[in-house]
Amino acid sequence: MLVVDNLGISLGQTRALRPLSFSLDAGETLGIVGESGSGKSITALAIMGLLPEVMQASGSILLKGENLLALDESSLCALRGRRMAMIFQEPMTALNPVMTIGRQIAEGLVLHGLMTSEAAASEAVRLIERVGLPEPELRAHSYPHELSGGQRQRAMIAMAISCRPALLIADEPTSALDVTVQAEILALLREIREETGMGMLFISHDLAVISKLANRTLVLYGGAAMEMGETQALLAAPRHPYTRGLIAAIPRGNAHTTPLRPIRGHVPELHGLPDGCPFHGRCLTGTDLCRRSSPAPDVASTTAWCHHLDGGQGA
Amino acid sequence: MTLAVAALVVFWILEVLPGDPAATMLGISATPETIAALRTELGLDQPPVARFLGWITGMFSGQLGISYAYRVPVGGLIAERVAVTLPLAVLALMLASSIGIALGTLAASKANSVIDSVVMGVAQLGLAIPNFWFGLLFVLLFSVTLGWFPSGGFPGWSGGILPAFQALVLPALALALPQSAVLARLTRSSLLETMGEDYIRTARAKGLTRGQTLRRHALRNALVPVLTMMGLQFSFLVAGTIIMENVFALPGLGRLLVQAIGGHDLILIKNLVLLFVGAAVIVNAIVDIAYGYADPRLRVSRP
Repeated sequence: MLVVDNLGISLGQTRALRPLSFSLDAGETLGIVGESGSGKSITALAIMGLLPEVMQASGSILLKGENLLALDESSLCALRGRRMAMIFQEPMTALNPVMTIGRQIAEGLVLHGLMTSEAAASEAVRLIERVGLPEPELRAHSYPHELSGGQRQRAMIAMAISCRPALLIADEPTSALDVTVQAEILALLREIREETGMGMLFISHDLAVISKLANRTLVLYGGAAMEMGETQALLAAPRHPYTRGLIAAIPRGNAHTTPLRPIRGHVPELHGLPDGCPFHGRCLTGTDLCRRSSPAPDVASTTAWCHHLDGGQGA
Repeated sequence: MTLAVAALVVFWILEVLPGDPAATMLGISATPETIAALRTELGLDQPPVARFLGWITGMFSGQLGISYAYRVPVGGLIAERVAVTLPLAVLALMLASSIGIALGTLAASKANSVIDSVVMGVAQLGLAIPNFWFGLLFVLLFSVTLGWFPSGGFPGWSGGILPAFQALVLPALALALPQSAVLARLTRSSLLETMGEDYIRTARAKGLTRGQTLRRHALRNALVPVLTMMGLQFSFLVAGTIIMENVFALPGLGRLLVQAIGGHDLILIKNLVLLFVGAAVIVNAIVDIAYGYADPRLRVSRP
């Protein structure tokens, strides 16, 4: 359904994303994990055609066979919200404060010519009920500030699924929420995916969250793919040193007996990054080769981009 | 509270002002005896505290006092003139806000384009040119050359709404233009700032074009600072009517005030100034109410 081929994003001379390819089937969820600046959010924005004007995308993004990067703005507007929708990280600021929840949900339905405004208003109430908000009639007339963070994120989800899009992009949808609310939102997303059969791109910095929802996972670092594969395989037997470091860095067990294992060093600046593997500076197995040239994909239990797959302990 | 303080300040300033109204009224040929007699008649021989209290209590009973110069009740005199100045100020405010917000929105929707530069350049010009000069230019163009509007004077509301309205259009426009320039600049910058908000990205992700997003989602959010500015501008607008009524020879409050000051008509001055203060207070109260409509977060409680 979604085929991303050699998608590259540049900001002037800086490569924000190195050529990246992946695909997504209907009903499937691809998790994209990475730290801030890894390129995961701009990948999502590139698919939606909402990259900041200073950034240029190259390659191709095919949604049901149509190359999104070749479309003009008005064709993209017709697709956005209709065939592909997006949920953002900050439920506090991602809803318009001066518009009622009901109107914000109904807006897309009317905009894409699916319904009259009366029908859309009652559909909005139905959607509010669907995403599990109590007293849907009342909530439809509420303003965002009258809802809690979790409730707002549910409203965002209702808005995103209103036009039954084929592709749903969720950019850190739970990162700003309490842990208990996180679990509820993840359960809701899973339910809706089963019900509608839409494909989902689930973006998070949190491997634990990704593992609850994603069939396959793509690990990004410094604007380049590190490893991609079935989520279970990737978590059980990570092959890339970065993935191993990421998994090892998840806090577990008793804080007194199990020391935290951060990855040494800092995320590099994308500007002026050498051609080689962006992780080489922090990688325990990094060699001169890693600095000079990008590794080719190595397909085994997962696909990994590393020169030294069989050596060392990683980070 | 604001009004009480204002009344005290106005009264005190007029008290320390040099010049005796009685002497001014009688002219240079007056004898000390006639001046003293007039002072007694006007109540000027009483102590200031008594006169202040008399003024305030009179206000509540509708007795504002008798104008020294006109020899008629101040209340009626003011009411007659309000019928000119209030429509003028309201018309100017309406023109200023509609022109300002429309131009600001246009500039923001075409940000960094030629249209944007032209609109902002014109706005800069509007800021730099004083309103009375606009007034004079308008008289030259629309009255003298084109003959569309009268160059001055006011036919009164009794002769029909249209001629009265026509007499107010030019002064209102001249008053409004510099104000609309301020509003246009503010609307533009406020809109552009709002366009960077997260919910604007949400709206774009829904499939709205940039223009639709600007009009449907950004504009209302961007108008809150514009509202504040409009409230503040009202005082300048009132000050502007004083000038504009003199340029266009309109029998409004502003001209009355200028004449009252010239004639040391203290009782008329203090009532007029208090009226202007009261108008500013009322307008700011209206702005506060309008906030609630513009931004639901500012509502105290849901209806």
